[in-house]
Amino acid sequence: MIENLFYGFASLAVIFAYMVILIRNPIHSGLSLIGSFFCVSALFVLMKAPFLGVIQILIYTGAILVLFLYVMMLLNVKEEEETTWQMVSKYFTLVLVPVGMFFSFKVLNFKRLAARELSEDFGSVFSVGESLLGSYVFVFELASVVLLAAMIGVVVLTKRKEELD
Amino acid sequence: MLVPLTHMMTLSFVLFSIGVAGVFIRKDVLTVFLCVELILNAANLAFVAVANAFGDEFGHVAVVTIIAIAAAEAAVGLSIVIKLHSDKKSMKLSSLNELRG
Repeated sequence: MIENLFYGFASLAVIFAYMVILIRNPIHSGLSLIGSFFCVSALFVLMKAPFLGVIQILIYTGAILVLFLYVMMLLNVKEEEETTWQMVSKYFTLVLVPVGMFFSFKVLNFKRLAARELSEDFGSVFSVGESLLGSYVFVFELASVVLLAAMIGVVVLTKRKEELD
Repeated sequence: MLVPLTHMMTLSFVLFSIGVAGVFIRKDVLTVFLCVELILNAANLAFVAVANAFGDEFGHVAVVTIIAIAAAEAAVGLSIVIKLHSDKKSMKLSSLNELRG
């Protein structure tokens, strides 16, 4: 039963992801990317990562993609006109990706790995927070530095030339 | 693990390749950015699948970091796009040819 949920959300995620590159209107492709991210967050929850599922919806779709949509509406983007080359390659990916999928089913083999029993609170807020601030605290601090650098960069980028002098 | 790890990695591979195809096919700056987000999300999915299979929490920490970096990337990229719009009045990647000699 739950396996079917897995495959359902997986195929929905792939369909939405296809729509991102098939649709010509950028706003519509942004909205279908949101759909794809929702399906992926459902997969996270099914894979015992409920905290990441929530983060995916709150931060990824709720903040980042809404920021994208906001900028698209601010700049009043138009549908792009497609060249024949784009049309052909677009539909060529529809054929090529299932072929690649078939080969990855053949080649990828993780059977040698013994399945581990997951602990009771694996993926909960408590244990993820403990490893974020415990053994991987350096990565956590590094992310804060990256965010600070991005913030300063955005402030500098959006200033006008005369203000900078 | 309910479904085999192979299936989750294949899903991640498919999402990744759709993202890469989009980066090559689309000409609009914002849509290319959306495809980069799709690639990052495929990486997230792979991390979570492997974390679930190995019972190691590093994957979750990596996903949190990737989301933070994606936020930083989106902020910087979008401010560049807005700058570009006011300078060039065009959102096409092919209009960025200032460096051509």
